[in-house]
Amino acid sequence: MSREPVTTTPSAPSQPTAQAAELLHMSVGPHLRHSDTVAGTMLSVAAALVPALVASVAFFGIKSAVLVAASVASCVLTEWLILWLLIKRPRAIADCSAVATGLLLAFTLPPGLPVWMAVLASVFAVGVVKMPFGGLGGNFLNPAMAGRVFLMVCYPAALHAFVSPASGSMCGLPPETLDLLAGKIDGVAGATPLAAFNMITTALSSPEMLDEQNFHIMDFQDALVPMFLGRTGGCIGETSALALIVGAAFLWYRRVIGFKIPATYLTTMLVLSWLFNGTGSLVTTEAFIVPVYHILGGGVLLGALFMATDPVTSPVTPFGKILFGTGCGVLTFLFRKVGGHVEGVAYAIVLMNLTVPLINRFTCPRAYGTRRRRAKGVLA
Amino acid sequence: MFRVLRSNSNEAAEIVRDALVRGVFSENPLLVCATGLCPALAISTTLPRGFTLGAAMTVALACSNALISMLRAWIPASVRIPCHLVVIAAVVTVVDILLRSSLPGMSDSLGIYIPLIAVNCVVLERGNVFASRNTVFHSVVDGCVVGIGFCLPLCLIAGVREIVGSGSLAGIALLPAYPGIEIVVIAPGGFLALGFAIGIVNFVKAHRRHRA
Repeated sequence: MSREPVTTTPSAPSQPTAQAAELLHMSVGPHLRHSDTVAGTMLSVAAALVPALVASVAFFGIKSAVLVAASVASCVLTEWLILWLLIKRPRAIADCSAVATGLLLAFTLPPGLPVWMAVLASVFAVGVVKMPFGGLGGNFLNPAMAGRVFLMVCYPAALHAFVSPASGSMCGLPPETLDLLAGKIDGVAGATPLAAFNMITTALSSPEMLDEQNFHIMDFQDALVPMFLGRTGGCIGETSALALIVGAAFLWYRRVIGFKIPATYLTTMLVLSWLFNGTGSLVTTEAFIVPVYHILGGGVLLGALFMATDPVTSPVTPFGKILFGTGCGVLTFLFRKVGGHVEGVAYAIVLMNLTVPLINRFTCPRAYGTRRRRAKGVLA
Repeated sequence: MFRVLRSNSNEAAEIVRDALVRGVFSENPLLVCATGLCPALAISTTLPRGFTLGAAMTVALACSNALISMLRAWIPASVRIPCHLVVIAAVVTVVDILLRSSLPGMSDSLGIYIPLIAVNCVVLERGNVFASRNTVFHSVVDGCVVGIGFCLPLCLIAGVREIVGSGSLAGIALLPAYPGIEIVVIAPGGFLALGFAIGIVNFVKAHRRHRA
């Protein structure tokens, strides 16, 4: 958009100066504009999360919608208060980034969580992780993930109190399999799919269970379809893989997220959980089911598609993105397999966020025509 | 020292006032110089602990500054740090023993952080920078005000952390049925609280500079 043409003081007759002025448009940059706005991007993210929201309300009822609304409202309110009172720019709330933060934070919470905990996590996410570091674009961690980590530190028991969905079983296994397991493993029916998987594989590795011929990991494939559709227990946004994939495809089409980070994250998780599956071989069908279980269970899809791809806290360079995705995958797998937590995504993403400035610095592409600096500085 | 007091009490009052402004505001060891952070982070979980550490630090500072200033003519510059350390360690040992005998419960709770005053940056820095170059009166005053400058923010941070983290103040529950925010009471909360305190100080300073 150019301003009015600037006419210089005419020393010559006015006619040629006016013509020259029409040819010479002077304007202030930016000279190339796109229709994208920050608010538009954030609302695209919100729109992409709507399928998962609908799925969670369908499975868990109105309480998940209440939690989401509370989280969004408290994020927006906190950011508006800080903008109004401290930074003196209250209209910056219109960039809708608080809405996206609130939605993403709510999606990592179990549906039965007390509302005040979600409010507290939102205040922490916006008021401690985002605004003191410069607001939008300045946060050093993903605010939603940081809010979830805050709750994991303060109220870990409340985060594991999952609610079973309206239809479908808590851990995704069909009733016949649950009856089979009932006498042998306690607590499987009340656990999320990932926790149930851990319990069953641990039980399978004990000597008395190995003699049992009528149960092995092949029966897990019955749980995969409910896990994909979302009819299992878990956090609000992470149960329905289908809804998340649909939303992420929409975001990819709108060029809000790239494919490098989710692709490398999920590939690393798949490869690692295939290499280290607990069945003892690499080529059986069970060995290929275990990785799918790891991807569909827990918040890996939500983390890989929506959290790790946050443009502020992920690397800028292409190779950096690949490193970031791989690192997230390795850390998530390590935390799940070796660490004490059932779910490793939150800590993994937060840790990798901390390394992003380092990754950015060391993966800068070399400018065309320059050489790598040698030890003695000899250039041919 | 008494010579100064008797002959020029107005000047003495002015020295104290200037030193107070310097020790608490412009050269505050915790919030401006950012020294002595480790005990501050670890101790500021409850108000009594914070106040006790601050008081012990003030006493240690005043005494060690006085001694170093008295000895400044005899300590060679090349070995001044070990000499200062010996003096400070002696003073802190006395403080530790006094605290252990008078407040044994608090001394147990503070644990190793009282003996650690001996190697605390605050004490060493004031001894090295100030006491080794100034008279005894100035040094004692400086030690006291820097100690107050350490104690005050420490008490404030400890109070806030205790109220927000466990809903009580000095062990007295203020809010019934307060669930408590665990992260504020453990180590990350210390970093956050200290960071916010330094941030508030910088914010106020920038605001003042902007207005002036």
